[in-house]
Amino acid sequence: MFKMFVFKGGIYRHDEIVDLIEDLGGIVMQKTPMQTEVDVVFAMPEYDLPYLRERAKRLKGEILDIPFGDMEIAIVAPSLSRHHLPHPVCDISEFLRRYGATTNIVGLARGYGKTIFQISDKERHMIGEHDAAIFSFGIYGECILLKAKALASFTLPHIICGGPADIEGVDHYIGNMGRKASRMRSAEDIATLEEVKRLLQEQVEERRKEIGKDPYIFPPPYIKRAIEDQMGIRGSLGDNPVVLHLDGLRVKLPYATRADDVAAVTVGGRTLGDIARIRKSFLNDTIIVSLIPQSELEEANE
Amino acid sequence: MEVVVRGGSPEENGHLKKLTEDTFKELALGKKLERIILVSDIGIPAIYLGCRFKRDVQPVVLSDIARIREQGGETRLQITEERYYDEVISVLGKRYGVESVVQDERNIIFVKGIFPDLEKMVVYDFTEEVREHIIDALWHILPEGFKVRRFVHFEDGFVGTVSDVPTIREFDIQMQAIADEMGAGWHV
Repeated sequence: MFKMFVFKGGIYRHDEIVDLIEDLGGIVMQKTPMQTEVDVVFAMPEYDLPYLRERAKRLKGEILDIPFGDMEIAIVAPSLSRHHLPHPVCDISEFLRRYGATTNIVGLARGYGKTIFQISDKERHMIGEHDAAIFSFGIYGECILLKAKALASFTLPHIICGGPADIEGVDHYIGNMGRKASRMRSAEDIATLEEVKRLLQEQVEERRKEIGKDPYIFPPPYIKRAIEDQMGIRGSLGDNPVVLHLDGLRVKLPYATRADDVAAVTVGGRTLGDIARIRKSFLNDTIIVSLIPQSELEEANE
Repeated sequence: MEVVVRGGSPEENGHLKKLTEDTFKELALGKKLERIILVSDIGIPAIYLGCRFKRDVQPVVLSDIARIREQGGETRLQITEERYYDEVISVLGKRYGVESVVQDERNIIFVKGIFPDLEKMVVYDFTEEVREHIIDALWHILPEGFKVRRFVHFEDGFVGTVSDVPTIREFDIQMQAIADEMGAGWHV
């Protein structure tokens, strides 16, 4: 399975790295030159990495792992009020972006309180479109326990954050978070954020293994490139018009007018409409492309 | 500022205490407060709160910022705090009529007539501002979705209850207990 990495090094001879990535079957996703330095974000299978690392070392550069580079993660706050934003929700979001994640902050319509808490069907679908979710709750264990029960039906990798260090009966829980009045930048806070990353990575690796057992006919980075090339979508540093998911992509174009164009994109001689399910996203008017696993495609062909 | 938090587990209380201290510190309101008591009853769920200001939080009266004396049947005010010029003229104008107030010099104001109670006239009620800011900070601290069910103001503080269930008798009992604990003779 493809994984995301970033090459950090000098401009001088960086094209050798770019060529090598492509020769090894990798895909360059983004190239950001900064004066004499360059960052090259790329996707490639992990087994060829030692050779690439060696070459990067010779050029005085380095290759870093960005474990969430091909993921869109939802950071869910009980609401978008000042009680929960910007700390700690934005701190979590900012921390995960350092590891390559594309993050969306989702504020529930009524995710606060104890007796009045609820999560609607639309919100569930909206969160379910992401590759992973992080729920940030308050400081009372009893309330978090009730809310965790309401979230039990989520099958995507998710983490629940709250104040108490440990709550019995709540899985994937990380404490010492809760509500904060200031930015999470102390050593303890950074350690807590690292713990969030570790626990999320653990769950995501499981998900990757599952996908690896029945892979897609083309990896999502490959399809992203085909869509960008064929539909003439060019991203800037600020926006990301085609967002990678573990199981597909989100194309930030209106569904009503552009879904057919997305379905008509050809990849390896097949149209995207044949190898993926294309539907309207619950999050704004965007297009969700969910790739169909190879076994399912073969079954359909028979 | 002393913050007392109880009702939850030691860990929950610790979190709420830290959040309260950090919030008030950030808003520079800690020095204005003597004591805050927060009692949580997450079973109901409700939070009872009590807050008492420091004694030095008093309204600004005219004698604090002006020298007052009689002069030819009129009252002469020499304002010593420049930032209150406009406020003094405005307050005097409202009380005695605009035509009775004359600004003779930059810091000298004449009021037609002799008024013995002028010294105690409130120019700027700082306590109201402090009260507003403290209440605003408290909404930041208290759990979201909890509505104000009872709120009683006193001269130097207030007590209240926030909850996401309708008012019950327990609220009054707890609020009176906090009022008694404040030791200011408050009666809810």
